[in-house]
Amino acid sequence: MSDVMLALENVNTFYGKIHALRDITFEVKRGEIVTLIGSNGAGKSTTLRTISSQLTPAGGRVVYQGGVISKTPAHEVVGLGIAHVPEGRKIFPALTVEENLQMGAFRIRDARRNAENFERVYALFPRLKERYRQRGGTLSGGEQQMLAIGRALMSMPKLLLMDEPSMGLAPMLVELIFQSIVQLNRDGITILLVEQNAKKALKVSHRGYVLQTGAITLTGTGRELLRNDTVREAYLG
Amino acid sequence: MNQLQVLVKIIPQLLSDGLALGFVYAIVALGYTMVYGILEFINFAHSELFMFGAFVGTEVLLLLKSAGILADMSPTVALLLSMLVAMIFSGALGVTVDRVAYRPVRSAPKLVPFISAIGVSFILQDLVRMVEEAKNGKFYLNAPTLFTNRITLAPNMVVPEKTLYIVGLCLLMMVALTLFVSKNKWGKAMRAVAQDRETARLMGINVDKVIALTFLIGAALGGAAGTLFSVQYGSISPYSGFVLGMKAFTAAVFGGIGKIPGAMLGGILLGLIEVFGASFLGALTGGVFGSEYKDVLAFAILILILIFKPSGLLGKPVGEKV
Repeated sequence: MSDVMLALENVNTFYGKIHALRDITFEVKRGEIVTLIGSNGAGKSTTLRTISSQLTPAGGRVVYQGGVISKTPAHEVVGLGIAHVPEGRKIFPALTVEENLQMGAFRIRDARRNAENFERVYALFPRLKERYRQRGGTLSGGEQQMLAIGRALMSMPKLLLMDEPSMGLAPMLVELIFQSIVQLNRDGITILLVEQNAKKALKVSHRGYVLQTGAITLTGTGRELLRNDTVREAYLG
Repeated sequence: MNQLQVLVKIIPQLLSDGLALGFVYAIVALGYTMVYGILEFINFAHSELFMFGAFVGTEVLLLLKSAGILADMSPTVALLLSMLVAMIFSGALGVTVDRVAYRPVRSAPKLVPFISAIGVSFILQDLVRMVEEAKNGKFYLNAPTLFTNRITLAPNMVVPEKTLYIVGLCLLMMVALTLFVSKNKWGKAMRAVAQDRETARLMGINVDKVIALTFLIGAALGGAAGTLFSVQYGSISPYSGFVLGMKAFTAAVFGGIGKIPGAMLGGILLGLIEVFGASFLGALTGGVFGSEYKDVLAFAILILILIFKPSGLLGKPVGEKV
């Protein structure tokens, strides 16, 4: 059991009055890349938001490294090692690139470690180093996505939640983002990915789950899902 | 020499009066604008935090006076001490007001916290009045005179020493706040929360703590401004906050609400417009409008500017965000 990093057990989440997640149960093992696929409104983002405690489940539990975190405030979840790259990047537009990264490191008090993390992020995305004094809002979409990922890495996560990191990007940048996902995973970060681009996502994933109207309907390894007829028809087009 | 020529001679004097008033407006305006920047909420009771600080600061000075210490101590030290105590008391009150009256209704429709703020405003006015009447038998206070010197800065420009202190201390607070917001980790977190509260939470920022910090700083500045106001104008009543608060709030909107430099600029300009208006209005209109119309003039100018630039002097044009 110790290789299970994150487990959702019969999680039910309401979004206002909408029953967005129905009895969701799945797990992410240490060192894995796991992808959630599903159409718009299936509950993918809601799942990630429930894990990072932006939403509190009405029933069930979220278990991370053996501890229940469903009621832990969002700002404390980060300290446990879970970082969330939100949908739409959500960088702070009026803060500079450097300040955005500093915000990601808000809970890291060790100055030396912080400096190392800056170096690591700048090595992963050299573009960010070139623009470190520029305001976040003036970056291109691809640069903003790099910043959003870099900002999440500044908190030194063990588990990285990524919501649609390739959305709206040019093919070359999509490639770059997926490469960085694989790279981060090789460096030891466990990744839970939500993607519209199911084909690319499943190719880099160890396992995947299919979400349909708030419930998990299918699961398998990345390769199995890529070959599955239902998945091919509905999500791979 | 006609009337206008006389007025031209007193311009340096007006400048110093206008700046002293304007800097006080600016410091109070900061409290409105900082809270608005984070919560999009007008803290209507901010004027009472100013008033409360004025009373606390003045009471400290009176206490020193009745203990017989005031005459022997440096007026600078007395001013700083009373201001500091006022900042602590106002700051603590600001955080308490947020915790008790605003935070419980944070997610309610916007009118609800606003009404709550109006209620707090009345309660604080009457509480101060009650305490002062019980204590002193009257509800207003006269501040002891701290500075009597007048300093000649230039020919025609003789400035009371206290005005220099007020402008200097306000400048110091502005510089400190600007540095805090641009360099300090918590200052940057304040800006992050103002831009995107949900995402700030994802960074590990405790948003409630940042909001409390915003109230603390805004209210402490208000309390400091209250003490300076009392020293400059000599007296304070529980109702002194209302009109001054209205003007400081206007200054914040004028400069661009939510923008810290906007509040500073708006406050200083409003003070200058008001003081110059009071002196020049009579001469310029041939005696039709006297100095009692200074507020009409000031607000007419503000309305005109806001018609052409609704987001205020330093605000972004409406609609650019999205």
